[in-house]
Amino acid sequence: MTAPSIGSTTHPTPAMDAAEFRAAADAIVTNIERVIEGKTTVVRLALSVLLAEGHLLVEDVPGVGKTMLAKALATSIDCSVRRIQFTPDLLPSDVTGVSIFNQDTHEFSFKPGAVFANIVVGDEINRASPKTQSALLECMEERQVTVDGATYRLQTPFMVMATQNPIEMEGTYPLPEAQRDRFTARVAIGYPDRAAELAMLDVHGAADPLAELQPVVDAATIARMIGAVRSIHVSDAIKEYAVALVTATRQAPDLRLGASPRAALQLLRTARAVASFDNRDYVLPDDLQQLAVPVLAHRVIPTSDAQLARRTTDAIVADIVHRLPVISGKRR
Amino acid sequence: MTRSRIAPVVAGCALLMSTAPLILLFHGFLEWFGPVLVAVACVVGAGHCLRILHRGGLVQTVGMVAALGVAVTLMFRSGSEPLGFVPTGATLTHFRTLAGQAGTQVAAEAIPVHASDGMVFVLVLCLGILAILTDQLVATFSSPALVGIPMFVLYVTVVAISPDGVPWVLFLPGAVGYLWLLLTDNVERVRRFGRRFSGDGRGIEQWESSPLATTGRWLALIAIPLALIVPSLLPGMTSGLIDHFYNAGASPGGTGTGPGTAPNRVDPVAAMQGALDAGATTELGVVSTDNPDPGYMKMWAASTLTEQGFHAEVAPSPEAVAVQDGFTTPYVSPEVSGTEWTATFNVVEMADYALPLYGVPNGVEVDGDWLYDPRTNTVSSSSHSTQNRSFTYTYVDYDYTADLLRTAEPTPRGSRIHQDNTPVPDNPYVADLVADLTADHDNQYDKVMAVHDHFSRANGFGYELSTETGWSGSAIIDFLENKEGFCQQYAGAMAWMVRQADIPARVAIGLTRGNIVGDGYRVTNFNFHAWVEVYFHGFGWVPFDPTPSANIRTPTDYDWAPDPDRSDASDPGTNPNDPGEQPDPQTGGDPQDPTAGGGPSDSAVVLSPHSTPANFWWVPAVGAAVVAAFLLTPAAARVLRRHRRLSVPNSRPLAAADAAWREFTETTADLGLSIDPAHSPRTVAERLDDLGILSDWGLAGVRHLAAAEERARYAAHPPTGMTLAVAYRAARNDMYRSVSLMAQLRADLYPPTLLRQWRQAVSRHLGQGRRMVGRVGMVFNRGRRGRTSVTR
Repeated sequence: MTAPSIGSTTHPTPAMDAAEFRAAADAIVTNIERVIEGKTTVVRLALSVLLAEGHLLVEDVPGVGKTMLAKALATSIDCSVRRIQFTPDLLPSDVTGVSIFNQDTHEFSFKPGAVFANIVVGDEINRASPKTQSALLECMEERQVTVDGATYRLQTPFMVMATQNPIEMEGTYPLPEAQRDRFTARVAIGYPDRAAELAMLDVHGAADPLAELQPVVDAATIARMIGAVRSIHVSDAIKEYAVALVTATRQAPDLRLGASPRAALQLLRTARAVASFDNRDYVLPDDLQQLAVPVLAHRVIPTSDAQLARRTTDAIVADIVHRLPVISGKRR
Repeated sequence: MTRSRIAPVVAGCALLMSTAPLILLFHGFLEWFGPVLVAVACVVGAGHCLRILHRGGLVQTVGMVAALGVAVTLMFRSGSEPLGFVPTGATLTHFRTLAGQAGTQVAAEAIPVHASDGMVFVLVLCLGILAILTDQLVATFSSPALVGIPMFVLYVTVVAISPDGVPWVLFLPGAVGYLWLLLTDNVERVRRFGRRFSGDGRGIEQWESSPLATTGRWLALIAIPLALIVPSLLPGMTSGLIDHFYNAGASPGGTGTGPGTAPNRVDPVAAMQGALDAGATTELGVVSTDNPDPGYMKMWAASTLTEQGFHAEVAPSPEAVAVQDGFTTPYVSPEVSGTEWTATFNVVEMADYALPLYGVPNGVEVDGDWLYDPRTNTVSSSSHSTQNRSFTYTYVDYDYTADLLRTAEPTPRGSRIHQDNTPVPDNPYVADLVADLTADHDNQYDKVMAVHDHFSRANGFGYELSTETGWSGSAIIDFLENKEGFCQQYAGAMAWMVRQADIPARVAIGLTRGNIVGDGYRVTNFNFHAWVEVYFHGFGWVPFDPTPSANIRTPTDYDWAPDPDRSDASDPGTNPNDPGEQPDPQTGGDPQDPTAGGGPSDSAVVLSPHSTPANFWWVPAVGAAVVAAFLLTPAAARVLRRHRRLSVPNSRPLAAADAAWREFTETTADLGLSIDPAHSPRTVAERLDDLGILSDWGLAGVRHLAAAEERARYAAHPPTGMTLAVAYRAARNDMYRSVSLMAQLRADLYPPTLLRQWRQAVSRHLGQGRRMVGRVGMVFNRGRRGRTSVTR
């Protein structure tokens, strides 16, 4: 039985055909879910970050599919993918590239590093030294690499998907705050539920499904999708709400460091992508609320009291979201 | 928490204290204060107990009304009540009778009145209702300052009806009570936050004035002198009554030398006013006379004139003699033909202290202690009334003619009559008018007629029982300018103007002839009338009637003073062949006016033929209506607001969606379904869906409202195709069904959102006022400190 409807409201469609956008997004999500079962929310968030032109930090215990997610997303898109396994002896030049003296031409020629790809999967990023981690700073924010005074543009789309293990801290270098702030969102994949785990045993028992994964969209489609996401309307009320959210983190008594202005910017960008998935051409406070923990929690630092009380930044940010009234805009 | 319940009790005490001025209105104290105390105590006690039991505002109101009902039934029971306090139909009939009695008493008695059952009943009912009102203001609305309004109304009522004003001492108990209430409330409010401290950390005792209250003290220092000074500088608002007679005999400064000034002497003007205003006809009596064309029957004469009007001398003059000792009739020129007649008055329902007598009486046969006053030619008593009495008297009816009166010499200036009946207050307006009117006339009669004829319809004068109040500062100017009034004002104005022409004149009060019934005339309360008597030297007191005769019931048109509005000089109204109860064609006035006699008979103006006593049910009815209006104000305001919000047209989509959504969220909050402010419209709809209280139709309504508001707030383009009112009603109906009846009533009658907004608005404005006064105080203090330092 169809639920009755009282009246209907209409609105114009976004620049990119909504159906086309939806089809492409669904194709990517379905494709990834062939290797990662029961994690639709995480998969959609990862895709949102890609469409918001951001970078994703996947943080979880070993063996839950962090690398699998990163690789599956990279594989689903027909674009260049590079994987860097971060180790303590990894050098910055391994990431960015290096100028080598060509004896034939007597000139230095630039050998691009692993970062010169559409999607860069950085595995176990916290195992590399801070010096190497910092090599990613310029790439992630400015989307360019400067070696020996020469600047090289990175490809578009460009996304860094880094994984890290929060449990094994020995011999690791926790990401510095500046580095963390450059990641648009941090997700935890979490253990699969019973059914998903059983299904995983079936699928992954015989062969590696990742090997069979085929790209479903090309880089050009992703670029168009990014364009569509950029056209999503963000009202003044939403902007005010985003600012109120980050301001609240700066004023929260449990937090020593609140979210940066960049956080507000990336929150809105990601919210646009989430709104697109929902077939909307405008952002809702619900989008921001849903993204607040993934986008803000890894950027803030709790006070020592909050740490002693075992209050995680996720809980603190969620609490702020629950307390902050939505902004309805100007009275008309 | 216990402390927070004291303020309503204090409010009840303050209300009782504010009844102090009522002492002026009643004889005795405990007779009326006892029942009032019991009623107010019952109301306040009921409210207090229900608050202890944590009952809501609505239950408290109902409880207090019930307590008042029980208390009133107990105190004024008819005897047929089960258990003594359960009201029945007989109780209500009894109450109705009591209210009727009160009405009759108000109409007939001068202040102070006896604390009769009827009066006390009405008083108890009114104060009981005020007690409920004050309790609600303090307990439910947390606005004890507003209690000042009912207290002030009580005081102003007494000021308005008390003839001699209210001594300032009687203002004090109410004022002290009000301050007590405000102090209690304020201390309670502050103590909710703990102990009070001064700025330097010293603790402040409970009743010590707070340093924080400096603003209030400044306010009092400025506002109270202003309140006292400003009114004295402004021109006073006149009562609009040139007819402001009062009981000179009973007043402290009156001529109380006569035999007895009984405290409950009837005020003739109050009696006349009450009789004319009464809704029902009361038959006063039947008078028979052998005179085929009798005039008016005089009862009182008013000679003393002040700015406020003529004063009726109720107490007889020192020359008054017992009627048994014979009458000393005034000298009248033998040229005037006078005929002696006999009349008999059989009283039916009339309790007055003066006898209505035709013409110039020269002998009365009546039982009791009655005095004849030769100054006023009236017969009155201080101890007996006309109730259940018949009296027979002889009188002379003089047939003056215009020509004879023209020959009258001016009254000697030194004579007592001239001295007593010509003084007028200084009034240039009246002096100029009279000078204009009488300039062309050389004899007294023509001057009097010039004034008499001035009150004609041609000059714009009309009859109006409720007169306009003017701001000229003089009642007579108001009347002469507005040109609308009734017999008292016409008579008062003409007498004043005739006096202005230096001719002795006074106002007579009594009865017109009445309708012919059998061989006599039947007079009713509507026959009360006031006219003018002018003294012509050698002719005595000659009656003139300036009131337009079309508006007088059974008027008498004197041959020497014909009504200027009549084209025909003949007077069928005084025709002895006037057939029985037939209408008097000359009295066909305004059919809207019950006193105009326009109906076929008296019965035509009887508004309530079965109730003989005047019906004063409107007193408690008006009180109840005021209370009901007060109690229903939030509900009405809520309905109006809802209507306004749902009427925003779709041509303003953003405003329409916003208004409808606000209305929906407030309705939800009023019903006790809380909405998290952190939720967007979409989430609110989802949460309501999760609650499972809405039908599909109601849910569709909520979703439509949420979608419209969502697009209005966040989308780039405004929503279209909205049916907000339908959606709102669908959602509202479902939500109402899901809550209890009490919750529905509360949402309708005392919507919490609205009350909260009102409270916030009041405290915001109060805060602004306090800040403003505080700034003024600071500026003043700074100035004072500056001066001090200069002195040093």
